[in-house]
Amino acid sequence: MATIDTNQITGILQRRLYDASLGVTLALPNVAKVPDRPRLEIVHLANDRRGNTMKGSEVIREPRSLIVTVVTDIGIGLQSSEDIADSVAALFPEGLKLAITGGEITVTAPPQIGPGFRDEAEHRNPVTVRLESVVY
Amino acid sequence: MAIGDHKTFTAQVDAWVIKSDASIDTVLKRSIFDVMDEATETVIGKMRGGAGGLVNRGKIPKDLSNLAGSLVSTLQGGMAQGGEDSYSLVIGGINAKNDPVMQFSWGGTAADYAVHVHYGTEHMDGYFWVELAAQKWKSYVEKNVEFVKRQV
Repeated sequence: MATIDTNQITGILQRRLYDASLGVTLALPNVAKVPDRPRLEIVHLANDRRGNTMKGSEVIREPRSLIVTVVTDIGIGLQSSEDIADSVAALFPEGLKLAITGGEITVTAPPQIGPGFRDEAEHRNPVTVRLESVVY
Repeated sequence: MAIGDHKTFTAQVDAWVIKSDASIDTVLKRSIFDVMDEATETVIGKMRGGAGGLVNRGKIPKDLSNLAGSLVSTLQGGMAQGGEDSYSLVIGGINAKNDPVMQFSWGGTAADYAVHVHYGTEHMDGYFWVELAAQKWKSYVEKNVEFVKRQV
């Protein structure tokens, strides 16, 4: 039976951000929080799976989202925050396919860059990447 | 789902359904009920002793203020809530024959902290209830297209 390895997908997505060398600290889940700014906070959201049985083979599809929040200092202007957000979005163009065991992940829509919001001494700008994972 | 600007989720409805307005309406209504059922689920907020966002992702924390009750729906481009310091979280619509667009937003002046609770902050994990509900839009539409086909 086909299975989707969520940890593997999380690792592949994080690796893509890491390898891009954006010059920004990556704040990963289950790692001690870092106060660095600018930094990227990464959350990988997976949802329930949809299965389609076709002629004895099983195809599993899962909608997913990668939320990368660009965190910068307050008062330095929006430009640097939005430049970083643009760089993150450019790493995940619509239609991009990344291989996983037994299948692939596809970026299903252009990444959406939020207008950002203020939180104490931080400006936070979320980038949403919508994905679908398929295992054949 | 979006903050500030209203981004749309589009699910393709197959050609057979588009032949009939009644079929489109049925798919649209059932899918919206499904997704809103998902998106409006609440959980006890941290201020009242509930667990945080990480273990309650996909639900709206109901605390001492107006977040859960700040939901506003608009049809065909009606005015959404907004303001200089307010943000809206939106689930967009479906583009079928009549191009019906429904938007749902939380936040606005009633709960301008919606965006903080949704995406999280340095001190709080995000709840992501809009994103997680919206992810299911396509599968709800597919399910309801099959429902309509079975009714004929």
